Amino acid sequence: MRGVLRVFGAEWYRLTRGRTALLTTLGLAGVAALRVFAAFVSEQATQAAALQRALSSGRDAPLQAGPGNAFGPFVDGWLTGVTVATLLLLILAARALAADLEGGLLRLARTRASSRTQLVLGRALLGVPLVLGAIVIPALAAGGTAACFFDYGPVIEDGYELVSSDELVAELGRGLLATLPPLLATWAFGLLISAVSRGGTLAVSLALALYLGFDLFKEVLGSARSYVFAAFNPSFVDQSYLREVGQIARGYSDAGFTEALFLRNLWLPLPQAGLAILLACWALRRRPL
Amino acid sequence: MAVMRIASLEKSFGDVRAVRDLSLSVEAGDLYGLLGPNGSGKTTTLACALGLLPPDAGTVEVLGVPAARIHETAGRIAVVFDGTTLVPGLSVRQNLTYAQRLLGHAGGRQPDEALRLVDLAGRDHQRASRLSLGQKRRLAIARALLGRPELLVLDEPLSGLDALGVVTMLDLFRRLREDGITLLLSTHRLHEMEQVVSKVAIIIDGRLAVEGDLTTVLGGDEPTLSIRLDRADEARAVLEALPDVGTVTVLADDQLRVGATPASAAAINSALVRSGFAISELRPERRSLQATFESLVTERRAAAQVVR
Repeated sequence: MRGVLRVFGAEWYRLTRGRTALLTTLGLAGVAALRVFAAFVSEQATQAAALQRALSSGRDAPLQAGPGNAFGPFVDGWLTGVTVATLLLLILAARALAADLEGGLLRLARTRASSRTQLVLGRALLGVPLVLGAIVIPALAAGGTAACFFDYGPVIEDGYELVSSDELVAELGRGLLATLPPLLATWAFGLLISAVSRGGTLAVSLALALYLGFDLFKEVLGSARSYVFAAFNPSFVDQSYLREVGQIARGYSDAGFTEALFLRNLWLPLPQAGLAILLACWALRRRPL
Repeated sequence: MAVMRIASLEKSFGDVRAVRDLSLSVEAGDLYGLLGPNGSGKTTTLACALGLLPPDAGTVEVLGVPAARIHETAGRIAVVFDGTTLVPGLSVRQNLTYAQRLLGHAGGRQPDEALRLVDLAGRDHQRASRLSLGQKRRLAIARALLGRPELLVLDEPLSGLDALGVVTMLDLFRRLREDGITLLLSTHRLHEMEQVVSKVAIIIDGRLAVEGDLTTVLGGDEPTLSIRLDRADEARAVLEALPDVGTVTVLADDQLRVGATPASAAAINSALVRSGFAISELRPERRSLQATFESLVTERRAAAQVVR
């Protein structure tokens, strides 16, 4: 275990000392904030169009609406940030072993103090803070930006409270919980691809091709898709629980997962992640460094 | 005490037998040169010895640990690979800190001392990607010196270095050996290695051609003197008449090689001057590592042709 922690510590040091880490953090936060700002601009444009229609038809100007509910734009921004972060995690994981193998750093670590298994497990452990960062950074950026332009509150329609603030916060908690396991599995999947690839570029290409290929064609699989971790990730063809939270925040009563699907979302990706890491260990043990 | 022991090592890649029945031993305190032409199997031998490549047969022990579990030597061995294997986005000091973290303890030689040893002090904050090739190589060596390595393995340590860099590096190898570190250098730079190594192994076509102390490997030949003078042909008769002179070979109109010890140089010089020859140069000749290496390659390859 000490060897795993040593590899983890060294890799964390390398990752956080480079400029890339700062740029990626700022980029992720920027994407999430921009998405919220876009929602604000869109809402302002809708209100301006309504005003223009009223005035041009000789009616009284509609009452100036106050800022909309922040929960919807917040989830949109968060979702966009996590979607980008998922792809970045996949790229980073795919490079983690393959690029170091290509560049000779794995040989260095191997001859100094680390077994091949420790090299994989240390990098697997690195996925935990990175996944947390991938979720928390967009959440903070989107949440903060939404607070600047909108008001957090219950979902109200025609004077009736459809969803209370507490219920929305609880749904956000479920959304956060549902996002963690598939992202961890995505990291592990990237490591597996990395362990079997000949170089960093090839590993990234292969991982992206497989991941995006599944994303594009998962509809064809029908309900069977829910047995693959990637089906629960925020993505371009999005079917994640966070997307459902966004719908709930806009008052859609049929949004959300069934309990069985939610449990599958929570528990299925973890053994898949474990299997991917085991296979990555096995693959690296068999490879010449 | 052997710090690295290789016995009956075999490694093939498909039909190509890269290493055949190779055995060698690096003793503590050696400055050991693993020499051979390109493609002779040096790097494959090292990769097997360092647990990076599984051998087909044979055993390898490094510091008493089987090569497959080399990480258990926990920092007692350090390797500088061909190519610099640095993290380009990190600074000089950050590269060393990264290596220290991989090593897992902060004892032994620290970054400041390691940088001073390779003449990189003062470049702490420079990005590794902006160093010259020679500086990158020195940084890789500084990284290897962190902690308390007992065995330092360097694969092609002189490639890409300018003349001054080579001199600095050879001096560093001598100093490290004096500090008690055993060095194993894998290279094809014979002339430079001859100046520093104490023991050599020459690998040709995957087989060990010779292993031993440098003086033993170079010895065994008759000591010779090289003489430059006018009328080499006529001088030959004068020299053959002298006692303690072996074979006399005319190499050119103005050059001779005489089988004689350096101690008889004065007598030979006097005899030639008395006979009216104008001598422009007289020096003892030692067989070089390059010459030994060339004759071994020729011998081995000729023998291989006969077997085929």
